[in-house]
Amino acid sequence: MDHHPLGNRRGTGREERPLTVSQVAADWDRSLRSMGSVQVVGEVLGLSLAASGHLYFDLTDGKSRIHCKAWSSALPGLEHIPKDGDEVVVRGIADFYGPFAKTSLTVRSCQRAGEGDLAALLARLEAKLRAEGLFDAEHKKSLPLLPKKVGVVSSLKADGLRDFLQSKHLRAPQIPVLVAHASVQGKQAEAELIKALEALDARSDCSVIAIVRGGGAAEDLLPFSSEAVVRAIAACRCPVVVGVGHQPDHPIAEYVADQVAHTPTHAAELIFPVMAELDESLRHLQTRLQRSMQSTVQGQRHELDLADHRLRAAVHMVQMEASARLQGLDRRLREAHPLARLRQDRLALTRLNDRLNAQHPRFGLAEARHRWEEQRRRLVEASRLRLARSGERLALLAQRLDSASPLKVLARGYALVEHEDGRAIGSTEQLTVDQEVGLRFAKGRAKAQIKEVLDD
Amino acid sequence: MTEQQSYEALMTQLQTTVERLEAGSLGVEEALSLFEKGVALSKNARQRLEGLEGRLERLLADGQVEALNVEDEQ
Repeated sequence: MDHHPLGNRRGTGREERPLTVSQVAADWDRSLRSMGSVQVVGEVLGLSLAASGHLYFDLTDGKSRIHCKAWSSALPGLEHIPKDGDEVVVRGIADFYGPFAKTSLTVRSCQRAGEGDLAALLARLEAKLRAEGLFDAEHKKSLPLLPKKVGVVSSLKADGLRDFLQSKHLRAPQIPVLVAHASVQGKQAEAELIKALEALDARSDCSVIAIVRGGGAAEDLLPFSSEAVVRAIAACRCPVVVGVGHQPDHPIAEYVADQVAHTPTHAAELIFPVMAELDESLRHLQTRLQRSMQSTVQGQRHELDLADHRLRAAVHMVQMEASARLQGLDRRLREAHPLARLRQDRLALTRLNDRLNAQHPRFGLAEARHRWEEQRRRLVEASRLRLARSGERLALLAQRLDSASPLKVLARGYALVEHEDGRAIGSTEQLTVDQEVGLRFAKGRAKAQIKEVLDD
Repeated sequence: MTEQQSYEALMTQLQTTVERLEAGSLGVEEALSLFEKGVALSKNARQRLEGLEGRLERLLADGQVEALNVEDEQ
């Protein structure tokens, strides 16, 4: 244990300084005292009377044990002075006394508990039933928001019933009520309460049962602590509301009830809704329902409009495209139509024809003729020219030939010497003496014989 | 069957239905169907509220029921 004056620092982040022992002791004492007065039943053990005159003892129930003390000044006020082994019922306030580290009950009243002691009896019964689980929360049934019919167990003479019905009338006059009369005090009450309760619970139309009576003395409320009544309430199919007047000692029926009311009026408040409020709530929800549907419809309409717009635009576009394509196809179809082809072909034909015609010989004919004429003329001209030139040359050549003609030469006085076979002799080398040669003169021929070959 | 349902359960269902409708973002069909359900629920609830007869009666020992007048008994 850390003895540091500032103490341990815990993980909360807050600095926790330790309390002193006396501070803790004082806290415990305060706590216990604030619980207030408590009544306890138990067996007395370890009793001792101190020299101071104060009485100290323990109380036990076999399982647990508590310390008790009675101040000497209180002793005269105790109805019964306890002795070891006594079964008693004490009342007091608990405290914690620091110097002795002792928790104990300061007893202010004490009574002997026996068969006839009511408080003890009730305490034991309560403990017993609690131990059986009769009061457990899981058995508690919830009250319906809108009961179809409410059963009431009460005395028709009781103020409690009138208060209950008045409160009901202000809140929900239209909810039906079925009253089963039962005495709410006295010896016959127990049986009558049970009978009324069972009769109402047996009916299928009852949604809730209220048990109500006005306030009264503790003894008057005893039937509501009867074991049989408590078990009958526990056995009910319907939820049960107990409103039997506020007492410091609660009738056991209050523990087993599904709901406890302080008074019959309070019971009515627990059971009956304010119908006007239910009506209002429902109308409010109906309005919200309508409104939300309207806004949904509006929203849908808006979206529908948008979709409509987009659809139209899309349709338009598709139409445009289709139209364009159609036109294109139509054009191609028309162009592909035999007549169109024909026209086209005819056109082509015409053009070709024109070109052909343009190529017709007649167009060139004149020109050709012209050219031919021209060529002929030139040819003729050229021929003539050549002819003329040839003629000239011929003439010239003839002249030359003529002049070169042997005959001309012969005319000039020359003679051609020939072999006998006619071959001309050009050189003396071909001559031999006494050779017979021919002589050809411009006019006539002679034969000669070579007398001599001379060297030049 | 809605007849077996408590009023509280009816109202809770109606509340839920309205809240879902108010939350929006529902398809038209779903919204319509929810709306119809809401209308049926609120009709049922209204019937429950208005179908009560308000009789004050007394259960007799033999199981019979008779009208009760509190003032008479006092």
